[in-house]
Amino acid sequence: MISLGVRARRSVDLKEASESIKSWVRQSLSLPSDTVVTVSEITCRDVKCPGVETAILVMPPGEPTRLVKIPAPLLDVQPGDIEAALR
Amino acid sequence: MTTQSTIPVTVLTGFLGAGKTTLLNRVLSENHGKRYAVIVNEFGEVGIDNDLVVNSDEEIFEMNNGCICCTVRGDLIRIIEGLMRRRGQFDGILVETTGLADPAPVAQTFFVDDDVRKNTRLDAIVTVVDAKHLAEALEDAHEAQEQIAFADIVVLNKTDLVEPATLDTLRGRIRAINPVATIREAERCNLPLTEVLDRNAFSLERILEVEPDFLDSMHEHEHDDHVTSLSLVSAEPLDPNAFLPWIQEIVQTLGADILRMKGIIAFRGDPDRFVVQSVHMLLEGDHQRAWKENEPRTSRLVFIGRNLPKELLRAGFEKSVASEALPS
Repeated sequence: MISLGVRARRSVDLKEASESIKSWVRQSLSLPSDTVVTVSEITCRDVKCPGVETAILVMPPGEPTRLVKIPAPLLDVQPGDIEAALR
Repeated sequence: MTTQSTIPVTVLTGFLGAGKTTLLNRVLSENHGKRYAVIVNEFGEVGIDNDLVVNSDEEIFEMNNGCICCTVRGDLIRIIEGLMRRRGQFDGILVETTGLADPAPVAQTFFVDDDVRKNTRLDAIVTVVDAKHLAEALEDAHEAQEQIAFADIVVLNKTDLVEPATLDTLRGRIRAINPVATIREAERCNLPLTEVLDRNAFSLERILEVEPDFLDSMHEHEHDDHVTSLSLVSAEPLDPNAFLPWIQEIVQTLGADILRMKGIIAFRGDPDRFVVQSVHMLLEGDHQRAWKENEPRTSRLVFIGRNLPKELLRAGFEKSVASEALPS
Protein backbone atom coordinates (compact mmCIF):
# COMPACT_ATOMS: atom_id res chain seq x y z
CA MET A 1 0.00 0.00 0.00
CA ILE A 2 1.06 3.58 -0.38
CA SER A 3 1.73 6.14 2.28
CA LEU A 4 -1.06 8.41 3.37
CA GLY A 5 -1.72 11.08 0.78
CA VAL A 6 1.38 10.27 -1.25
CA ARG A 7 0.55 9.22 -4.78
CA ALA A 8 3.36 10.91 -6.63
CA ARG A 9 5.35 7.76 -7.43
CA ARG A 10 6.92 7.96 -10.83
CA SER A 11 5.47 4.70 -12.02
CA VAL A 12 7.09 4.79 -15.45
CA ASP A 13 10.53 5.47 -13.96
CA LEU A 14 10.00 2.78 -11.36
CA LYS A 15 8.98 0.25 -13.98
CA GLU A 16 12.06 0.99 -16.06
CA ALA A 17 14.34 0.86 -13.02
CA SER A 18 12.78 -2.39 -11.89
CA GLU A 19 13.28 -3.98 -15.32
CA SER A 20 16.91 -2.81 -15.38
CA ILE A 21 17.57 -4.32 -11.95
CA LYS A 22 16.02 -7.62 -13.04
CA SER A 23 18.14 -7.64 -16.15
CA TRP A 24 21.35 -6.92 -14.17
CA VAL A 25 20.49 -9.71 -11.68
CA ARG A 26 19.74 -12.19 -14.47
CA GLN A 27 22.98 -11.31 -16.19
CA SER A 28 25.11 -11.48 -13.04
CA LEU A 29 23.75 -14.85 -11.95
CA SER A 30 23.25 -16.22 -15.50
CA LEU A 31 19.69 -17.11 -14.62
CA PRO A 32 17.52 -19.21 -16.94
CA SER A 33 14.17 -17.75 -18.05
CA ASP A 34 12.13 -19.98 -15.72
CA THR A 35 13.73 -18.41 -12.65
CA VAL A 36 11.41 -15.74 -11.27
CA VAL A 37 13.02 -12.45 -10.25
CA THR A 38 10.93 -9.80 -8.51
CA VAL A 39 12.00 -6.35 -7.37
CA SER A 40 10.20 -4.40 -4.65
CA GLU A 41 10.80 -1.20 -2.80
CA ILE A 42 10.09 -1.86 0.86
CA THR A 43 9.01 1.10 2.96
CA CYS A 44 8.02 -0.55 6.19
CA ARG A 45 6.45 1.35 9.07
CA ASP A 46 7.69 -1.06 11.70
CA VAL A 47 10.12 0.76 13.97
CA LYS A 48 12.34 -2.33 13.95
CA CYS A 49 12.70 -2.24 10.16
CA PRO A 50 15.31 -0.11 8.39
CA GLY A 51 14.25 2.75 6.11
CA VAL A 52 13.60 2.42 2.40
CA GLU A 53 15.16 -0.70 0.90
CA THR A 54 15.07 -2.51 -2.40
CA ALA A 55 14.32 -6.20 -2.03
CA ILE A 56 15.12 -8.60 -4.85
CA LEU A 57 13.72 -12.12 -4.77
CA VAL A 58 15.44 -14.76 -6.90
CA MET A 59 13.22 -17.84 -7.17
CA PRO A 60 14.72 -20.76 -9.12
CA PRO A 61 12.16 -23.56 -9.73
CA GLY A 62 12.32 -26.21 -7.04
CA GLU A 63 14.91 -24.34 -5.02
CA PRO A 64 14.64 -22.03 -2.02
CA THR A 65 14.06 -18.35 -2.63
CA ARG A 66 17.08 -16.08 -2.28
CA LEU A 67 16.50 -12.59 -0.88
CA VAL A 68 18.95 -9.84 -1.78
CA LYS A 69 18.50 -6.43 -0.19
CA ILE A 70 20.01 -3.11 -1.12
CA PRO A 71 19.71 -0.28 1.41
CA ALA A 72 18.54 2.30 -1.14
CA PRO A 73 15.35 3.35 -2.92
CA LEU A 74 14.63 1.39 -6.08
CA LEU A 75 15.32 4.36 -8.34
CA ASP A 76 18.81 4.78 -6.85
CA VAL A 77 20.03 1.20 -7.30
CA GLN A 78 23.09 0.94 -9.55
CA PRO A 79 24.66 -2.14 -11.18
CA GLY A 80 27.56 -1.91 -8.70
CA ASP A 81 25.12 -2.17 -5.77
CA ILE A 82 23.76 -5.38 -7.18
CA GLU A 83 27.20 -6.83 -7.84
CA ALA A 84 28.16 -6.09 -4.23
CA ALA A 85 24.92 -7.49 -2.82
CA LEU A 86 25.16 -10.68 -4.85
CA ARG A 87 28.74 -11.35 -3.81
CA MET B 1 -4.50 0.36 -6.18
CA THR B 2 -7.30 -0.37 -8.65
CA THR B 3 -6.45 -0.01 -12.27
CA GLN B 4 -8.36 -1.61 -15.10
CA SER B 5 -5.45 -3.72 -16.27
CA THR B 6 -4.88 -5.52 -12.98
CA ILE B 7 -6.20 -9.04 -12.44
CA PRO B 8 -8.59 -9.38 -9.48
CA VAL B 9 -7.57 -11.92 -6.86
CA THR B 10 -10.04 -13.53 -4.48
CA VAL B 11 -8.60 -15.22 -1.41
CA LEU B 12 -10.63 -18.09 -0.02
CA THR B 13 -10.03 -19.00 3.62
CA GLY B 14 -11.82 -21.26 6.07
CA PHE B 15 -11.36 -24.35 8.13
CA LEU B 16 -11.17 -27.85 6.70
CA GLY B 17 -14.68 -29.04 5.88
CA ALA B 18 -16.25 -25.59 5.93
CA GLY B 19 -17.06 -25.70 2.22
CA LYS B 20 -14.16 -23.93 0.47
CA THR B 21 -13.71 -26.67 -2.10
CA THR B 22 -17.44 -26.73 -2.88
CA LEU B 23 -17.31 -23.01 -3.60
CA LEU B 24 -14.12 -23.37 -5.58
CA ASN B 25 -15.58 -26.15 -7.72
CA ARG B 26 -18.59 -23.98 -8.44
CA VAL B 27 -16.33 -21.17 -9.64
CA LEU B 28 -14.54 -23.61 -11.92
CA SER B 29 -17.57 -25.44 -13.28
CA GLU B 30 -20.44 -22.96 -13.51
CA ASN B 31 -21.11 -20.82 -16.52
CA HIS B 32 -20.65 -17.35 -15.06
CA GLY B 33 -18.89 -15.85 -18.04
CA LYS B 34 -15.44 -15.51 -16.48
CA ARG B 35 -12.41 -17.76 -16.40
CA TYR B 36 -10.51 -18.13 -13.15
CA ALA B 37 -7.02 -19.40 -12.56
CA VAL B 38 -7.10 -21.23 -9.24
CA ILE B 39 -4.22 -21.68 -6.83
CA VAL B 40 -4.95 -24.59 -4.51
CA ASN B 41 -3.05 -26.29 -1.72
CA GLU B 42 -4.34 -29.79 -2.53
CA PHE B 43 -4.85 -30.84 -6.13
CA GLY B 44 -6.87 -33.89 -5.12
CA GLU B 45 -9.68 -31.91 -3.51
CA VAL B 46 -10.58 -30.08 -6.70
CA GLY B 47 -12.76 -32.25 -8.85
CA ILE B 48 -12.11 -30.31 -12.04
CA ASP B 49 -9.38 -31.15 -14.53
CA ASN B 50 -8.29 -27.73 -15.66
CA ASP B 51 -4.88 -26.47 -16.69
CA LEU B 52 -5.58 -23.19 -14.92
CA VAL B 53 -5.53 -25.00 -11.56
CA VAL B 54 -2.09 -24.66 -9.98
CA ASN B 55 -0.88 -26.40 -6.85
CA SER B 56 1.06 -24.43 -4.24
CA ASP B 57 3.16 -25.36 -1.23
CA GLU B 58 2.98 -22.67 1.41
CA GLU B 59 6.29 -20.80 1.51
CA ILE B 60 6.24 -18.09 4.15
CA PHE B 61 8.90 -15.53 3.41
CA GLU B 62 10.10 -12.59 5.50
CA MET B 63 11.26 -9.59 3.48
CA ASN B 64 12.57 -8.17 6.75
CA ASN B 65 13.58 -10.63 9.46
CA GLY B 66 10.79 -10.97 11.97
CA CYS B 67 8.70 -8.09 10.66
CA ILE B 68 5.11 -9.22 10.53
CA CYS B 69 3.95 -6.80 7.85
CA CYS B 70 6.79 -7.68 5.47
CA THR B 71 5.97 -11.40 5.66
CA VAL B 72 4.67 -12.66 2.33
CA ARG B 73 3.86 -15.93 0.58
CA GLY B 74 6.76 -16.79 -1.71
CA ASP B 75 4.79 -19.56 -3.38
CA LEU B 76 2.13 -17.08 -4.48
CA ILE B 77 4.74 -14.71 -5.91
CA ARG B 78 6.22 -17.54 -7.98
CA ILE B 79 2.87 -18.82 -9.20
CA ILE B 80 1.47 -15.39 -10.04
CA GLU B 81 4.61 -14.53 -11.99
CA GLY B 82 4.10 -17.77 -13.92
CA LEU B 83 0.41 -17.06 -14.50
CA MET B 84 1.21 -13.61 -15.84
CA ARG B 85 3.03 -15.28 -18.72
CA ARG B 86 -0.38 -16.73 -19.63
CA ARG B 87 -2.20 -13.44 -19.32
CA GLY B 88 -5.30 -13.31 -21.47
CA GLN B 89 -6.27 -16.89 -20.65
CA PHE B 90 -8.13 -15.93 -17.47
CA ASP B 91 -10.08 -13.01 -15.98
CA GLY B 92 -9.32 -13.50 -12.30
CA ILE B 93 -7.35 -15.55 -9.79
CA LEU B 94 -8.75 -17.49 -6.86
CA VAL B 95 -6.36 -18.45 -4.06
CA GLU B 96 -7.43 -21.25 -1.75
CA THR B 97 -5.59 -21.36 1.56
CA THR B 98 -5.18 -24.28 3.94
CA GLY B 99 -7.60 -24.47 6.86
CA LEU B 100 -4.99 -23.25 9.32
CA ALA B 101 -3.33 -20.65 7.09
CA ASP B 102 -2.65 -17.19 8.43
CA PRO B 103 -4.42 -14.81 6.01
CA ALA B 104 -2.01 -11.93 6.72
CA PRO B 105 0.97 -13.07 4.60
CA VAL B 106 -1.44 -13.94 1.79
CA ALA B 107 -2.98 -10.45 1.83
CA GLN B 108 0.39 -8.74 2.28
CA THR B 109 1.83 -10.45 -0.77
CA PHE B 110 -0.48 -8.28 -2.87
CA PHE B 111 0.81 -5.05 -1.30
CA VAL B 112 4.46 -5.72 -0.52
CA ASP B 113 5.73 -7.37 -3.70
CA ASP B 114 5.85 -4.68 -6.38
CA ASP B 115 5.64 -7.12 -9.28
CA VAL B 116 2.58 -8.87 -7.88
CA ARG B 117 0.99 -5.51 -7.09
CA LYS B 118 1.66 -4.25 -10.60
CA ASN B 119 -0.21 -7.15 -12.18
CA THR B 120 -2.93 -7.99 -9.70
CA ARG B 121 -5.20 -6.42 -7.12
CA LEU B 122 -6.60 -8.07 -4.05
CA ASP B 123 -10.33 -8.15 -4.71
CA ALA B 124 -11.64 -9.66 -1.48
CA ILE B 125 -10.90 -12.10 1.29
CA VAL B 126 -13.74 -14.59 1.52
CA THR B 127 -13.96 -16.77 4.62
CA VAL B 128 -16.22 -19.81 4.56
CA VAL B 129 -17.41 -21.00 7.98
CA ASP B 130 -19.43 -24.04 8.90
CA ALA B 131 -22.49 -23.08 10.98
CA LYS B 132 -22.52 -26.48 12.66
CA HIS B 133 -18.94 -26.27 13.94
CA LEU B 134 -18.16 -22.55 14.04
CA ALA B 135 -18.82 -22.02 17.76
CA GLU B 136 -16.45 -24.87 18.61
CA ALA B 137 -13.79 -23.66 16.16
CA LEU B 138 -13.94 -20.14 17.61
CA GLU B 139 -13.36 -21.52 21.10
CA ASP B 140 -10.57 -23.88 20.10
CA ALA B 141 -8.52 -22.09 17.46
CA HIS B 142 -7.27 -18.55 17.16
CA GLU B 143 -6.94 -19.14 13.43
CA ALA B 144 -10.73 -19.34 13.06
CA GLN B 145 -11.11 -15.92 14.68
CA GLU B 146 -8.33 -14.42 12.59
CA GLN B 147 -9.80 -15.75 9.35
CA ILE B 148 -13.09 -14.02 10.22
CA ALA B 149 -11.20 -10.90 11.28
CA PHE B 150 -9.52 -10.62 7.89
CA ALA B 151 -12.65 -11.33 5.86
CA ASP B 152 -14.46 -8.93 3.60
CA ILE B 153 -17.15 -11.53 3.07
CA VAL B 154 -18.05 -14.30 5.51
CA VAL B 155 -20.01 -17.17 3.99
CA LEU B 156 -21.95 -18.71 6.85
CA ASN B 157 -22.40 -22.13 5.29
CA LYS B 158 -24.44 -25.22 6.21
CA THR B 159 -27.16 -23.10 7.78
CA ASP B 160 -29.61 -25.97 7.29
CA LEU B 161 -27.76 -27.94 9.95
CA VAL B 162 -28.51 -25.56 12.84
CA GLU B 163 -31.55 -23.98 14.46
CA PRO B 164 -32.47 -20.34 13.68
CA ALA B 165 -31.58 -19.31 17.24
CA THR B 166 -28.08 -20.78 16.82
CA LEU B 167 -27.70 -18.82 13.58
CA ASP B 168 -28.57 -15.61 15.42
CA THR B 169 -25.88 -16.34 17.99
CA LEU B 170 -23.33 -17.12 15.27
CA ARG B 171 -24.10 -13.90 13.44
CA GLY B 172 -23.47 -12.06 16.71
CA ARG B 173 -20.13 -13.82 17.21
CA ILE B 174 -19.04 -12.98 13.67
CA ARG B 175 -20.16 -9.36 14.06
CA ALA B 176 -18.30 -9.00 17.36
CA ILE B 177 -15.07 -10.08 15.69
CA ASN B 178 -15.62 -8.26 12.40
CA PRO B 179 -18.31 -5.58 12.26
CA VAL B 180 -17.50 -4.57 8.68
CA ALA B 181 -17.61 -7.89 6.82
CA THR B 182 -20.60 -8.79 4.67
CA ILE B 183 -22.22 -11.97 5.99
CA ARG B 184 -23.83 -14.23 3.40
CA GLU B 185 -25.70 -17.36 4.44
CA ALA B 186 -25.72 -20.56 2.41
CA GLU B 187 -26.53 -24.24 2.72
CA ARG B 188 -24.01 -25.93 0.43
CA CYS B 189 -22.24 -22.75 -0.59
CA ASN B 190 -25.29 -22.19 -2.81
CA LEU B 191 -25.04 -18.41 -2.86
CA PRO B 192 -24.79 -16.40 -6.09
CA LEU B 193 -21.12 -16.28 -7.13
CA THR B 194 -21.52 -12.56 -7.80
CA GLU B 195 -21.64 -12.14 -4.01
CA VAL B 196 -18.09 -13.39 -3.60
CA LEU B 197 -16.35 -12.59 -6.91
CA ASP B 198 -15.35 -9.21 -8.29
CA ARG B 199 -16.30 -7.34 -5.11
CA ASN B 200 -13.52 -4.73 -5.16
CA ALA B 201 -13.51 -4.83 -1.37
CA PHE B 202 -10.01 -3.38 -1.01
CA SER B 203 -10.85 -0.38 -3.15
CA LEU B 204 -10.85 2.82 -1.16
CA GLU B 205 -14.06 3.71 -2.98
CA ARG B 206 -15.83 0.84 -1.26
CA ILE B 207 -14.48 1.11 2.24
CA LEU B 208 -17.14 0.60 4.88
CA GLU B 209 -19.94 -0.15 2.47
CA VAL B 210 -21.27 -2.30 5.26
CA GLU B 211 -22.41 -0.20 8.18
CA PRO B 212 -20.28 -1.28 11.13
CA ASP B 213 -22.17 -2.68 14.08
CA PHE B 214 -21.51 0.02 16.62
CA LEU B 215 -23.27 -2.01 19.26
CA ASP B 216 -20.45 -4.52 19.22
CA SER B 217 -19.59 -3.70 22.81
CA MET B 218 -22.77 -5.60 23.72
CA HIS B 219 -21.18 -8.76 22.37
CA GLU B 220 -17.83 -8.21 24.01
CA HIS B 221 -18.95 -9.41 27.40
CA GLU B 222 -20.36 -12.65 26.14
CA HIS B 223 -17.10 -14.21 24.95
CA ASP B 224 -13.47 -13.79 25.74
CA ASP B 225 -12.47 -13.69 22.09
CA HIS B 226 -8.83 -13.53 21.07
CA VAL B 227 -9.77 -11.13 18.28
CA THR B 228 -12.14 -8.26 18.93
CA SER B 229 -13.16 -5.05 17.23
CA LEU B 230 -13.58 -1.45 18.19
CA SER B 231 -15.81 0.96 16.29
CA LEU B 232 -15.28 4.68 16.85
CA VAL B 233 -17.59 7.38 15.63
CA SER B 234 -17.67 11.15 15.74
CA ALA B 235 -20.37 13.52 14.55
CA GLU B 236 -17.86 16.36 14.97
CA PRO B 237 -15.25 16.88 12.24
CA LEU B 238 -11.69 15.73 12.87
CA ASP B 239 -8.53 17.78 12.66
CA PRO B 240 -6.25 16.30 9.95
CA ASN B 241 -3.18 17.65 11.74
CA ALA B 242 -4.11 15.57 14.77
CA PHE B 243 -5.68 12.53 13.12
CA LEU B 244 -3.12 11.75 10.41
CA PRO B 245 -0.02 11.66 12.68
CA TRP B 246 -2.04 9.74 15.28
CA ILE B 247 -3.27 7.02 12.93
CA GLN B 248 0.21 6.59 11.47
CA GLU B 249 1.68 6.22 14.94
CA ILE B 250 -1.02 3.76 15.98
CA VAL B 251 -0.45 1.60 12.93
CA GLN B 252 3.30 1.78 13.41
CA THR B 253 3.26 0.86 17.09
CA LEU B 254 0.23 -1.44 17.31
CA GLY B 255 0.15 -2.77 13.73
CA ALA B 256 1.36 -6.22 14.73
CA ASP B 257 -1.90 -6.71 16.61
CA ILE B 258 -4.21 -4.67 14.39
CA LEU B 259 -5.28 -7.13 11.72
CA ARG B 260 -7.43 -4.74 9.73
CA MET B 261 -8.58 -1.16 10.10
CA LYS B 262 -11.02 0.80 7.96
CA GLY B 263 -12.37 4.30 8.24
CA ILE B 264 -14.20 7.16 6.60
CA ILE B 265 -13.19 10.49 8.06
CA ALA B 266 -14.76 13.95 7.86
CA PHE B 267 -12.06 16.56 8.24
CA ARG B 268 -12.81 20.08 9.36
CA GLY B 269 -13.34 22.39 6.39
CA ASP B 270 -12.82 19.58 3.88
CA PRO B 271 -15.60 19.00 1.33
CA ASP B 272 -14.32 15.46 0.53
CA ARG B 273 -14.48 12.23 2.47
CA PHE B 274 -11.08 10.89 3.55
CA VAL B 275 -10.84 7.11 3.54
CA VAL B 276 -8.24 5.01 5.27
CA GLN B 277 -7.48 1.30 5.61
CA SER B 278 -4.71 -0.93 6.84
CA VAL B 279 -3.62 -4.54 6.97
CA HIS B 280 -1.26 -4.78 9.94
CA MET B 281 1.24 -1.93 9.35
CA LEU B 282 0.44 -1.47 5.67
CA LEU B 283 -1.51 1.76 5.66
CA GLU B 284 -3.31 3.51 2.85
CA GLY B 285 -5.39 6.65 2.85
CA ASP B 286 -6.71 9.15 0.36
CA HIS B 287 -9.40 11.67 -0.38
CA GLN B 288 -12.44 10.19 -2.00
CA ARG B 289 -15.68 11.67 -3.29
CA ALA B 290 -17.27 14.82 -1.89
CA TRP B 291 -19.73 14.54 0.98
CA LYS B 292 -23.26 14.69 -0.40
CA GLU B 293 -25.45 17.63 0.51
CA ASN B 294 -27.71 15.83 2.98
CA GLU B 295 -25.22 13.20 4.06
CA PRO B 296 -24.28 13.32 7.75
CA ARG B 297 -20.58 14.13 7.97
CA THR B 298 -19.89 11.37 10.43
CA SER B 299 -16.40 9.96 10.91
CA ARG B 300 -16.23 6.20 11.43
CA LEU B 301 -13.17 4.16 12.23
CA VAL B 302 -13.11 0.42 12.89
CA PHE B 303 -10.20 -1.54 14.32
CA ILE B 304 -10.14 -5.36 14.24
CA GLY B 305 -7.31 -6.96 16.16
CA ARG B 306 -5.80 -8.87 19.04
CA ASN B 307 -5.69 -7.39 22.52
CA LEU B 308 -6.79 -3.99 21.28
CA PRO B 309 -6.03 -1.23 23.82
CA LYS B 310 -9.52 0.14 23.42
CA GLU B 311 -9.32 3.04 25.86
CA LEU B 312 -6.06 4.24 24.34
CA LEU B 313 -7.52 4.07 20.84
CA ARG B 314 -10.73 5.79 21.90
CA ALA B 315 -8.81 8.56 23.69
CA GLY B 316 -6.56 9.17 20.67
CA PHE B 317 -9.53 9.33 18.33
CA GLU B 318 -11.35 11.76 20.60
CA LYS B 319 -8.27 13.98 20.74
CA SER B 320 -8.40 14.17 16.94
CA VAL B 321 -11.79 15.83 17.02
CA ALA B 322 -11.30 19.40 15.88
CA SER B 323 -11.49 21.53 18.98
CA GLU B 324 -12.34 24.79 17.33
CA ALA B 325 -14.12 26.06 14.27
CA LEU B 326 -12.17 27.21 11.26
CA PRO B 327 -11.48 30.94 11.21
CA SER B 328 -13.98 32.57 8.91
